[in-house]
Amino acid sequence: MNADLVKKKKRIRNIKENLSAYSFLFPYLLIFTVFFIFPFIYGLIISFFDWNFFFPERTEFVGFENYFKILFNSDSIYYTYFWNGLKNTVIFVVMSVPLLVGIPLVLSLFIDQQPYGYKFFRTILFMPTVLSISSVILIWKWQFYNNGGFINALLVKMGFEEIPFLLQQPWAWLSIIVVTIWWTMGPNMVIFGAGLKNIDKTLYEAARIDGAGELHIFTKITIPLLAPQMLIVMITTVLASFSVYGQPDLLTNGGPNQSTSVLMMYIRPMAYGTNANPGVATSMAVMLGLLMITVSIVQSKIINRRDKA
Amino acid sequence: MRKKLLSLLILTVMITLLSACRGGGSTTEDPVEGEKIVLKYWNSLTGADGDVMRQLVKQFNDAHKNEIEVVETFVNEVDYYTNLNLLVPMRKGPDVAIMHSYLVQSYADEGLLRPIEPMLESSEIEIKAEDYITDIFNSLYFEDELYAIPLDVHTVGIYYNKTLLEKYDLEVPTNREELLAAANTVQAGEEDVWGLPISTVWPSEWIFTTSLYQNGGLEINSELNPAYNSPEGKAALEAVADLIHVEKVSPVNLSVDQDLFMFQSGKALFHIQGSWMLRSIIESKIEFGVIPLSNMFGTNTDTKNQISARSHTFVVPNDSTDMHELKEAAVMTFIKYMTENAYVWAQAGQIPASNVARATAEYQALPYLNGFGAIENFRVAAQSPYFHEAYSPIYSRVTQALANSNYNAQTLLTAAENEALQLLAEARQ
Repeated sequence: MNADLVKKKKRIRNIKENLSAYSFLFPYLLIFTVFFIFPFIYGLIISFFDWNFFFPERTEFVGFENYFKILFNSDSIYYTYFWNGLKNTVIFVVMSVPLLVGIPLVLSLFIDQQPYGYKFFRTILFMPTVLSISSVILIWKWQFYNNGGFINALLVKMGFEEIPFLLQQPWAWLSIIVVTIWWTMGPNMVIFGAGLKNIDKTLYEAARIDGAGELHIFTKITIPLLAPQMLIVMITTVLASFSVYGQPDLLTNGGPNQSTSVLMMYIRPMAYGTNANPGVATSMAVMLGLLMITVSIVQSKIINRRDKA
Repeated sequence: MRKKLLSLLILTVMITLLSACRGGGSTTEDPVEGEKIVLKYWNSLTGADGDVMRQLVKQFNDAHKNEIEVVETFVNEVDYYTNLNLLVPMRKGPDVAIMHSYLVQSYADEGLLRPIEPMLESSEIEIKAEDYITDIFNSLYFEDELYAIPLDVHTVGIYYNKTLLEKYDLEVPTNREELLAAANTVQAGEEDVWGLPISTVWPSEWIFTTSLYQNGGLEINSELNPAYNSPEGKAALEAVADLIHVEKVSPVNLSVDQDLFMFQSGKALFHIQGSWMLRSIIESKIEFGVIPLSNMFGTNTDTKNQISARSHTFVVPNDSTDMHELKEAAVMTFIKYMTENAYVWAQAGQIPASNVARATAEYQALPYLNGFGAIENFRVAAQSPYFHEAYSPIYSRVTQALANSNYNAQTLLTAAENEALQLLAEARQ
């Protein structure tokens, strides 16, 4: 058999193998296209129009006008909505992400020591994740309420004043963040836990023999070896925090005084309705998307560089 | 071999998926006289009132066997209007739908609704304005065309705990002074009972609007711009917020329905709540009565008795490509039947808009509903296709005033007006 024929056969086999891989990927790609690529491009198109759902013939191309309006035209209500929404979203991201990464990390470190009953704690710490946002809010509302909420009732019994958790700042943010941590730390904890399991325990022993302290071991061995997990956790957490919606919407309804109205809460109602403006709504969504992409790229660059150093 | 089988399987799945995506195009057949007509009817009634609606639709279907069949679809209110907004332009909307009265103007302005009168003429079915509450019927015209028929009117009233009132030998109050005096008496005598708990969030927009009317204020002016930033508006806001901060007949910081729970568990003497909650309050087994909000917030001689009211109406979306005269007649028959038999619907705490329905012995026998006030005192929102833009910014400011004892009424009203003007500027473009 000559070499050419062998090569040819090999190529055919390659194509065949790829084909079966593609056929496995196809259902996913189909759904990805229908529910992600298509709406993404459609949304992008809408953002350049003064869009009218009711009468397509009244839809007008306006170029970057929607973007200009939300970004620079301070006379427009959409400018006010966009910047207030973005400000509140960024506040939430900045406050929640460190906690959503730090707390699960610490907890998974404890669990990794495998103390007595660790499986039980691992389960109950993960459990809230399976709840839907509406049940989470239902549970927590009755903790935070004034006049009969659990925490406030406790405070009053102990002789303190009630705290308006859902109605005044900074309590409103505090409540939203506590709920978010309780609800979403599970997956991060599991990812960190898996990463910790993969770290060779002999490294710790060696370090201890060399006289390294626990803090030293943590910063010089655990953290660098957790870099891949850290990258995933950081990126997914930041993205999830940027698209926060359910917690402020259901818990504080954006109040007090629109101080917890995040961008998604402005975008959604603006997209539909008789006098709605889908063009402006999608342009806000695109700006939020761009911001999220930029932040994730910067993050992965930073973490990768640290990894190489 | 196994691989081949697997590929075949995947191929089959793919083809099935693809063909499923293509969807079925609906074909419209020409109607035949005498054939049963099927109507798609949408509404947003999902609570206890929804059960009553189901019952009424069944009653209609039973009465029109072999002629008309109404197929009801219902979803919660938020999704309901989203569905209408998206599906009607795609020609996938219903043949007849429920719409809140204050939205009719803006939907008519968008061209989303069919005028009712031509359909009444062609079908020769009589639905006459004088058979309905005049103000409500008149509010459903947009640019001289009628776009909706009212089913009901719903409003807010003061529920009172009969047991507590009797215990302190108090009369049922008829004005603000008597209301506050009774609230203070009971609050002083009972531990753990509040006179008139008010949630900062809901239904505070109803209470404020009522107060605005009673103080002689307007929601919008003749140019359809906000008109509540006025001395009357300020007095209206203070008359509501004072109940919490000055009269102290309510605790501060009550969330949605906390006031309702307090009343249902006997921890409140008075409770301001919608007529639509009637059933749920009856179920709480509290001994109670209902009095109107008239004369509780303002002293304007002409309007001090007025109460904010809204109405569920029937509309015909302007999308049915297969709308034909027989179907129009069926829709009109349905609307006429539903409004005239609305005494059934009244069990859900909704007062029928049809004079015929209100005159029935069945309606007269229902308890409590007369307590919400005289029909002529019900006032529906001012008419404008931009009503939501002009008025809704006040709602969150009312909440702020109710939540903060050091609120500044003037600042809040001005903030709401400014936001409204900006929203109007965009909506009018």
